[in-house]
Amino acid sequence: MTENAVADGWATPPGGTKSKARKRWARHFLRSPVSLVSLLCVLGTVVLALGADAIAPQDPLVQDVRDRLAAPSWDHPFGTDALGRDVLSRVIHGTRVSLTAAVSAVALSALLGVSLGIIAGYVGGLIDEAIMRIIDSVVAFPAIILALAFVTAFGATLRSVIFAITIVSVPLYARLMRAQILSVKETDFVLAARAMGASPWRIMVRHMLPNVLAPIVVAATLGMSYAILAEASLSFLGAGVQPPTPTWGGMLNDAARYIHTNMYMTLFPGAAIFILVLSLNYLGDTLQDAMDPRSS
Amino acid sequence: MERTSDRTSPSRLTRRKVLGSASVGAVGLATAAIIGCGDDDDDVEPTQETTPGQSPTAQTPGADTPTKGPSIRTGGSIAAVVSEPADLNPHTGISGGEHQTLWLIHDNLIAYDEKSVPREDLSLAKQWEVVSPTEIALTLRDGVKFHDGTDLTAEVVKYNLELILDPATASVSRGQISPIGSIETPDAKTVVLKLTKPSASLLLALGDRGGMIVSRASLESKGLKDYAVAPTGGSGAFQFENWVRNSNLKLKRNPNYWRTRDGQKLPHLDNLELKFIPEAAVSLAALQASEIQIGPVSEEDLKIVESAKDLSVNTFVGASTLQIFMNRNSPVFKDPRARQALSYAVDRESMVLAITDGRSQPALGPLTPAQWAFDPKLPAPSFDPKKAKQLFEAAGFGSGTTIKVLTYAGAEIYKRQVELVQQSLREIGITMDAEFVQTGAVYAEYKKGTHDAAFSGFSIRADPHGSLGEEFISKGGFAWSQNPATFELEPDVDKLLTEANQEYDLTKRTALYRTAQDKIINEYAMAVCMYYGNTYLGQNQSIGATSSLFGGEGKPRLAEVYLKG
Amino acid sequence: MVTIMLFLLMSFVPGDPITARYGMDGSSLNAEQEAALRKEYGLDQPLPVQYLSWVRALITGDLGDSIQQRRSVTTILKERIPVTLQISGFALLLSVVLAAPLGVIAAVKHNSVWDRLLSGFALAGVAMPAFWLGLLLLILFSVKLSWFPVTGFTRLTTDPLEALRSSFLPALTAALGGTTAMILRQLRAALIDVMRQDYIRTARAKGVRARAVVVRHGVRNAMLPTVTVIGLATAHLLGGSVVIERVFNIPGMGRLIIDAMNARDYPVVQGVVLVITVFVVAINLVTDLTYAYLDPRIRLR
Repeated sequence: MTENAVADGWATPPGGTKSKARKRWARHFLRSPVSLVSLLCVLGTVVLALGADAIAPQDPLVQDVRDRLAAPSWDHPFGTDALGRDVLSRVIHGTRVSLTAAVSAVALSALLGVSLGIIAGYVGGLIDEAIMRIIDSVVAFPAIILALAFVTAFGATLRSVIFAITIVSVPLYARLMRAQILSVKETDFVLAARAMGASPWRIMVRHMLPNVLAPIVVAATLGMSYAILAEASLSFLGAGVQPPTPTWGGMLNDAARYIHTNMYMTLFPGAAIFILVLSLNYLGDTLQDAMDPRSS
Repeated sequence: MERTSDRTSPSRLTRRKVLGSASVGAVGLATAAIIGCGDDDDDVEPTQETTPGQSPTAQTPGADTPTKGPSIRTGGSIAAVVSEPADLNPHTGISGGEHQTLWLIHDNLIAYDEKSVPREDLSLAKQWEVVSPTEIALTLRDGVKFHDGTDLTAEVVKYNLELILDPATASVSRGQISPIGSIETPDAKTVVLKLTKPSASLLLALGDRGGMIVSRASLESKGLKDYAVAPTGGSGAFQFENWVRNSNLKLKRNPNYWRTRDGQKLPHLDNLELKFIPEAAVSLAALQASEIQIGPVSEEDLKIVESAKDLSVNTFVGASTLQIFMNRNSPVFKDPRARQALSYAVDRESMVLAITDGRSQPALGPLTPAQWAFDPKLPAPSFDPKKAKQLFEAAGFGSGTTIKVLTYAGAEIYKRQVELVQQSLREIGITMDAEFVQTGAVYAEYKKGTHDAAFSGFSIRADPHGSLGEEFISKGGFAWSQNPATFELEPDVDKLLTEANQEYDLTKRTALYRTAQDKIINEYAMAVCMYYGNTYLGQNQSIGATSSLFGGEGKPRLAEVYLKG
Repeated sequence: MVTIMLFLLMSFVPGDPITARYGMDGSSLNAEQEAALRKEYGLDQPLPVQYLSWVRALITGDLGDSIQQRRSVTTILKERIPVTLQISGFALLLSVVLAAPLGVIAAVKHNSVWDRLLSGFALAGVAMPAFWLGLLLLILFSVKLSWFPVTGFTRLTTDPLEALRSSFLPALTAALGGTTAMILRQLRAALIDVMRQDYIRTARAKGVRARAVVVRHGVRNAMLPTVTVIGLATAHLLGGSVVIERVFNIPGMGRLIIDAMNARDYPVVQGVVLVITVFVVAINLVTDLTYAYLDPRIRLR
């Protein structure tokens, strides 16, 4: 859903040197309250995910059907779901699943994509041609349908969902990386390193990678928000992570059954998705602005 | 006895029902099979057909009794949401969700009403007679014309039945009417069915898809495939106009329809539009916005529809039984004690509460209150975690055992069933891993035998033999309760059920079914019956109907709907 | 390429079209009947053979028959393509109409509160899962306010006005769910970039009024990178149609492919995949050509 954001990422040239960049980023965050809030939201989500067991007031799986569909109260600040489970605890535990899915999908696709991109960009020639041809064919195709086919083939488990999101995100990083590599390949410092007899591997890791890391980080931030939304869409299409694991998308989809009777039920998982995705997007924007040497 | 008269007065109902079903019976078919899984449309649709709820008493308030009060207007158009058919050729169709559409366009040789009572006034055969246990004679109604203008004759009936019996047609009704060995047509209005063996359930099978009669001319000129897309050779109340897949199907009045109601020609309406909406929330929105006048209501939305002043709810109690089918070849469930244990581990009361909002009831056995052989005194297992634990341990599966189950993805009721059973089992130290598979692949997956059990529903059949025979006779049609390797079940249950289908005496037949059910749920624990599924139809107050809105098996039957004048 | 991938993927898929169609009750068709059907649809052949025969038929314009619907895939696609295009086209139009003015304001008031608010508005739609956004819009505008119909898709060729009414909510959901933000961001970024260029500074220095500068020089030049995003947006809309068409009950390609996947109706899945791929490739080509046309530097080459 945020391929757009990534489009920006492609267009962004890498910014200056490390220490300068760090200062500039800090300045960007401090100057903009929105960015700061976004950062706090994302960090907060991470804390919730890590400490879910300690933070959640109740066991997210324990059912009490006699207390089902309860409205928000002191006992259940977010109310209870159709099986009488505490929605607040489920949202908190859902954080863990959503973040796990998002982080692993992004990490995997970044790793795979970056490797492919480096190989394509650095080696060039036929290999470049072959890799990019495959990648183009994936890009040309709507991600959600590919993800759905994937889940259909390998079952609706968290692992499949992660792989599905990974597969559809790989092209992004590969293209990004390849473009970056091409743009720095002929720069002076790489040429100099090569002239000094550095091995291709060393050149890549020591000289090229740091230079192209920044746009990858931006893309990863936005990729995470895509992963979270993709999980929700897959849940709606009946291909989400299977119960009893609480996921935000699954919870939102369950709550949507009560959209006519208890509309508030969609609010909690919906807001969780909304806030995290929005924060990630703002964060991505801020990072990108921060990296753009011209915006100051 | 063999003869059923046409009028059904409430006081004679029970007897009539019994009579009707005694001579008759359905090898219940395959067609409707699993709730929800008949729909090939998408996974959420099951809930439309099966959504649970409402007190297990009254059936179809409002719609059941011919409405007095507001007068019946002749003409007008309404729209209704039904589940989308895949194939509108009765002989090649597949899903139980198709009947709602098929019944409007086609008539049955012998039709039954919402209580599964065969009714001559609804049937193309104006009378029928069981001449001997292996011979049935039907007399066809005069003056019935198909939509293409051709006449109903004995020869057309013979053609239809032979088409179904021909393996090349790949008709799912073939097994259902397979007792028919040959068909004779002594004259244009008489059809004689010669059976290869006695079958008490054959006549009701003719009220299912297998008894829908299509114009021979249309079938031959279009071919089976094209007829499936444009069924223009029925004799039903409405004629097919246009079908846009995933959207709607338009029907118009059949001006030459043979049926009348209280002296008035049927149908009442000029046009009937069927809409196909997969999302329950959207279907309800359409009902609220008066864009449709009739539509399924999910349990979640019942309260809203009940409290809306221009809407009301019709309930069909016991349209299906929600069950767990156990793989008799799996290490765990090959032991009957483990199967019994699972049955004791299911908290049926909680399930009724959490899934049907307390509107349904715990299942006693495979037969539901909507079927005549239902026995309210059947001793059934109820929730007893201690006993479940003991039995599991006795079978050698204590704490730490993991069982792997399979069910439909995207269907809320199955998800909740699984989650509830997971919780009960967790408390006795057993883990249940569930795999949710898309509707179209569940059975194929289950047949591989790699899962220990599957959650699925089974919709009722007009004749109890349809339900019990399909499910619990070795190599029966609905093979879920069987060993996926051998398809063998219990020989003495096979014997009881086969005997019951050849028994024309009702009292004896009922007793046989009771014994069989007892063995099925207790002694052998062949399936875990959890609760009965209800069907709910919301209706706008601007319409009425001169019959129940439900046909047999709780499927909407909308031929007699009218606009209030 | 994608078709081969999908064909391969399908070989992992549990279930096949025959069991999916008749399969609930397995044995209601006996083995001999099933085998006959498999043969009829060529499912008894090994996968590569199936693929090759599919490709061979494709060359003659034949996409095979749907196993579920018992009709030719070409016929089905002919019904579905215009529907999805109508919604997607409308959504694209709405996105541009919404994004253009907002993007200009955001760029001109770069880094101001306005800029943040507008970006926030565009992002809000993106951050809501489309089915939730769609249901909320449906309940608000169709049930509570009765402005738009809940069901019933009308084609542009049947009744243009009613078509617009019936496509508005789905198109709006699709637009808000991604493409508006996509275009707005691209436009804003491009415009900010352009405004920093020397010729704009020159124009300003020469005393041309701010608005005239933005409109005459800025927007025109910012169009370039914005056009490129349209290709991406189209792929996005086609993908989003699987959710949107389900929520709004629209008989387009999105619902078709979901149903076909569920029914293991491979010929249909392949057909839709092919159409979508061809479409996205075509759009990208058009985008490139437009880009070339708009950018004199490329045109010269």
